[in-house]
Amino acid sequence: MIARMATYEALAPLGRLESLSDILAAGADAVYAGLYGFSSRPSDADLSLEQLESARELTAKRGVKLYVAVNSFIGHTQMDALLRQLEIVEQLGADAVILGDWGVLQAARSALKTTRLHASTLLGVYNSETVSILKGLGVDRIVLSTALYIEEIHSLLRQTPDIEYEIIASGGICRNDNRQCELPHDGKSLDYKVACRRTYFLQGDGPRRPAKSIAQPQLQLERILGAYMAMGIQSYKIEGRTLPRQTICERVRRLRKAIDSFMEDSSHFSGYNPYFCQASRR
Amino acid sequence: MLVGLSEYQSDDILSLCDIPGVEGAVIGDLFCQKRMFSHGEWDIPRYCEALKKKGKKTILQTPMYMTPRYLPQWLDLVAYLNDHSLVDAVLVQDIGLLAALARKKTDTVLCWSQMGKGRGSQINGPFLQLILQLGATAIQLDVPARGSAAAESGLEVWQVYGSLTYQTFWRECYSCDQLDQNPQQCGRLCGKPISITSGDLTLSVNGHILGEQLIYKPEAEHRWAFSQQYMVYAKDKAALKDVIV
Repeated sequence: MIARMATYEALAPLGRLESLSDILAAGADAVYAGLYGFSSRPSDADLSLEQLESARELTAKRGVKLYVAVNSFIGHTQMDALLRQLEIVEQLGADAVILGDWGVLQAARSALKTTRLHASTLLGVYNSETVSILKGLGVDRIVLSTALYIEEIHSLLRQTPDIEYEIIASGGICRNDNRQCELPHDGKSLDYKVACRRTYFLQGDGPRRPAKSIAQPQLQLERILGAYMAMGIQSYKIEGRTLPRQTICERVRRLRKAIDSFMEDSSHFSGYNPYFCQASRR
Repeated sequence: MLVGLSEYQSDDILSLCDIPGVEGAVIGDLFCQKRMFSHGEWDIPRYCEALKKKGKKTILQTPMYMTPRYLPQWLDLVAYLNDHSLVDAVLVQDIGLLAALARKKTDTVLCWSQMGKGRGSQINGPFLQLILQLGATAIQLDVPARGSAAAESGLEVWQVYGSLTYQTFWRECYSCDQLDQNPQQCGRLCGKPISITSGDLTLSVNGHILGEQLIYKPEAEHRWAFSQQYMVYAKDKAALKDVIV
């Protein structure tokens, strides 16, 4: 068994309320939904306050956590409206809000009494100094930047272990700087497509030729999940609120199986994984 | 007026100092020092020293991605420049680095860099208060509306004309990746004029990966009443002279 008997979480995207039952049945421990009007996804992949209330009722019955994402950057004029909505989100009983704007985090610390704060990848956390500041702001969980290498993640967790960490374990992740990427994000819901997934041609001083893809192939950490679990990362996110329900459910099932499998028997992993060995010796 | 070039040749610093109105220069690349200087980061103290000998201000631009490996290196570099009175201000876009530099309690001005912005470049009051609390006393901005809010918050506004834009490709050099070159032996491939296209979309990779290198906003052409510093960036010395005129 893994030495640190922490709880490991399969976190699933919720882009449509009607998908919720299936996602829960597939084995999600928690779901996250975008707050309508304050998300960087197409608006029909976000949930209104009314829909969030319905989602909260169902998730509470099943003992599943509900997180609400505000992953857009907020200007002066939007701040008050957002804080009012976050207060309602708290009253609905959401377990956490995921915030990607430093100013919103600073303001939410005062506005929210019980809701946990999760720091989104959009904050660009690359070092333990930043983690310490986030802890000071009352943040409970860091969603690790997708641009961190495994040894950097290990270093961060070793230097600042007393906070929760989350990692994207399945789906598309940005190879571009996802804090600053301003490539077009086109389409709505199922047609939603970001410009990095297009086919490109390279134009330089030689002949025009196909360029290497700038989109990252779909990430599937399931096979090596034990390495991250042993490092101490608690939550494993499936990316893709705009994905079809079947795809999300399939990914939840795979992730669930991987987490359970490593929890039940990780002995085959300890032979060659340095992170696992370190964690086991604690 | 402070000036910054995308790439420095060895004699640029001295000739920049001779341009009327130039009080100092920005030294340091946002991503790769090999792109800005022929000898990479080794040139930074040398160029700062040259500026100081001419009685000019030196502004150190720190790079993006202050990972556990780079953060200590840059803290050490700033400490060295401070100890030798070679730096007047540091441009920072990493919250952790800002806090770590502020703890050193030096006279060096800490300015929140324009590259600390997120998508859409929105800023809000609580954010301005946060960077003030963490030790910033100035902020670089290229839009007057944001500048007035920053000035009201108590930060010095350093107005930027020719804002650098920068997007990396998983923190690696996109030119090296596309052209199959080992980044350690890149031969400064980023200077090659390459771009990638898809339909009507063209992405420039001229060193500033997947983004245009410099964007000149008309609203920053004339100095704003509330800005304490005016910073002009250009590709090279010739372009800078054109922009200043």
